[in-house]
Amino acid sequence: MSYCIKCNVEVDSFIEKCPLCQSDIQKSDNIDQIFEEKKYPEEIIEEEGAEDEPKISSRRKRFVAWEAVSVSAGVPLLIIIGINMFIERSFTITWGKYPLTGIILAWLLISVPLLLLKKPILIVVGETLSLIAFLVLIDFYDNGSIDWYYQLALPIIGLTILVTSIVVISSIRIKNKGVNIAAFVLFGVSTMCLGLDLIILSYIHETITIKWSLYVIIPLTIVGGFLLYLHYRLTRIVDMKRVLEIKKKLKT
Amino acid sequence: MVNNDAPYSESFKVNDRFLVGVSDRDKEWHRLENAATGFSLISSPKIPQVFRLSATMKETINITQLQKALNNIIVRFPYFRVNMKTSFFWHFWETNLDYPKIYPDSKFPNNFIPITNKSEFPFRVKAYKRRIAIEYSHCLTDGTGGLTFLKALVAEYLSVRGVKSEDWGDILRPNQIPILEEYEDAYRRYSQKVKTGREFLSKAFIIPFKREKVGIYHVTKGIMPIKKVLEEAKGYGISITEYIVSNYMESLQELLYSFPASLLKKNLKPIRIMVPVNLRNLFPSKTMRNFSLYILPEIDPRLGRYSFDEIVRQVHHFMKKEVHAKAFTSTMYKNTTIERRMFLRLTPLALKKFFGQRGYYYIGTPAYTGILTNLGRVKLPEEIEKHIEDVEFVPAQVPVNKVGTAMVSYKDKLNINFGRIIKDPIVERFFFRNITKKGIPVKIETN
Repeated sequence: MSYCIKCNVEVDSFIEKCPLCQSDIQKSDNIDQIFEEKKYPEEIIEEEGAEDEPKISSRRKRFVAWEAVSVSAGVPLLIIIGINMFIERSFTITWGKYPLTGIILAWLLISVPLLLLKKPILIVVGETLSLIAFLVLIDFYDNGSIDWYYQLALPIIGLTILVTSIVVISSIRIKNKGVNIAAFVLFGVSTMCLGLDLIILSYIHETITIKWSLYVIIPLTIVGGFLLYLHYRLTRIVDMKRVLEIKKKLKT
Repeated sequence: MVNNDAPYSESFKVNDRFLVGVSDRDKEWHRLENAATGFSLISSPKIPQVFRLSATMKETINITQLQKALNNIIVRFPYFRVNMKTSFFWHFWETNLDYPKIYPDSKFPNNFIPITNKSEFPFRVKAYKRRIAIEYSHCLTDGTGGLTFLKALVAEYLSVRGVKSEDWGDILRPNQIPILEEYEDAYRRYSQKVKTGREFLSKAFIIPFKREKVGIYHVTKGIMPIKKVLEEAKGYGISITEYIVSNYMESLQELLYSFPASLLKKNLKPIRIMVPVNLRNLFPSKTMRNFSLYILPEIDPRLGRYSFDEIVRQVHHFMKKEVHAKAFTSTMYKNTTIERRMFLRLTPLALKKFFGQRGYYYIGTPAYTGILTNLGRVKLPEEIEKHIEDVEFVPAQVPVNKVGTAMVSYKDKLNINFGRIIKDPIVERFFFRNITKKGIPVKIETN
């Protein structure tokens, strides 16, 4: 009889190490080997259909996806160029520059996160630059000069990127997650509305004006504040699960 | 009121539309029962849903004779002689007129059976030295159905080898005609429309180790004298299942408290064990398909450390309270929601599988720490018994919980098999050390 003194269990006489703790097995002299044999074969038979799917790295998968997106964008791009040249009977792009710029923007917006997946800062920079370039070009195509871009497009892009980044980063980094994230989103929406109101009206009236955004900011700030109070203060004082349980009992 | 006397013909009134539809001259098709529907939606190489029952004979297996016995006996089990087909909305069984073949055994059992492949049977008979093992897809049957087939195959094998018996007991023989009740979806027969609401369980303590490569499955078998275990259980006035579940919980509690402080804090959640219940003991049925549900006894270490006596009390009273027919009829009804709601029925199979697998990973299995299934005592006629040395039950792989446990007793031995997909036998170590501390001798065998 073979024995593991650590686990107090008996094992087959041909076992060298305890299957439970890997300690050396204490062997006894009177080994009964008549019925002791390996209980399973050594060879591993892969079940048909059970083997792992062929491994493709996530990097490779992303590259293939990017290639597919690029080809999908390239086909309409070439068609538009061809039709534009055919209609104009010259090697110049006229009306085609609008859809072409749109397609290139879409391709950039998809390509940047696909190629820079684990670099969030680079993704934000890449996406912002793509949008900026797109709006500059659209503004320029209009009459050959840049007019509304600096007062309207650039501040809106800047504001959107800034507010989104703050909300996303603070939501990820915060330790105690709950309704506080909803509050952050509400504050973000309020800031966006205030910014849009300010930027758009100031552009139209050429003076610093705030109008409709106040109707959004006031309720959203109150609701956001209540959510923060609920999250940080009330849940510490009162066990909400118990409160809900009492309500449930009262209902029944 | 629970209708325990529901005639099975009643259930066929419901099933008639689906059960015996002739799609080919010799082929029948029938729908999956409720549990099989669930298993078919989640089954994949990562979640094989395959369990294994085996009988170790006194002599080396003769493969030719075993194949002959299998060919003879499969005719008696037409509901096992099937192949899973896929339609746009559901899977269904269709008669497979081929004969199942004998496979060589592998180091790692209970891996995925691609049951939707053409002519593939939802079970595999494997032979190794003196052992006949059958690995079943859970879509086909449960432990009781599986054991009935194993007993029939082993008896037929012995019969082919010239063993004669006056009385085959409850063993099904090839010359018998299968009865319709063996096909039945007993869940449908006994489920009753009772609305009791749903209870959502909190997440349980899950063994925090990384699974090994898909396909690797470690089996650790602990053999102990049934007499000694029974003695110990009787000392507490409880059944063997309750005693082993209590020990399992105590071991998991010890394992949890062996963690460093930070890991302990992170994992301090209820220890909940899934204990399947054979519903044939509560609702008379001869079905060979799945007919079991489960209960979930638990202890909550957040309330403090439990003594063994406290765990025993908790488990014993919980099982007394939960294992009764009334509780299960409403559960059966709730489980058939997917088959009753029109929008769920009309959801394409691919979508059902997508959400089914995610539900399994994120909602279903995280609610319990481990599974412990007891097939009970295997009784065989004396003539057969003297040719069989041992009977073994290996649980299906549990990818989320990582360790599963199955027990079966035969002759004077209680076999507890642990199956795990992690490298370290940490649960087994705590469990068997715990058992031996109580004075029960254990012999360990592994793959």
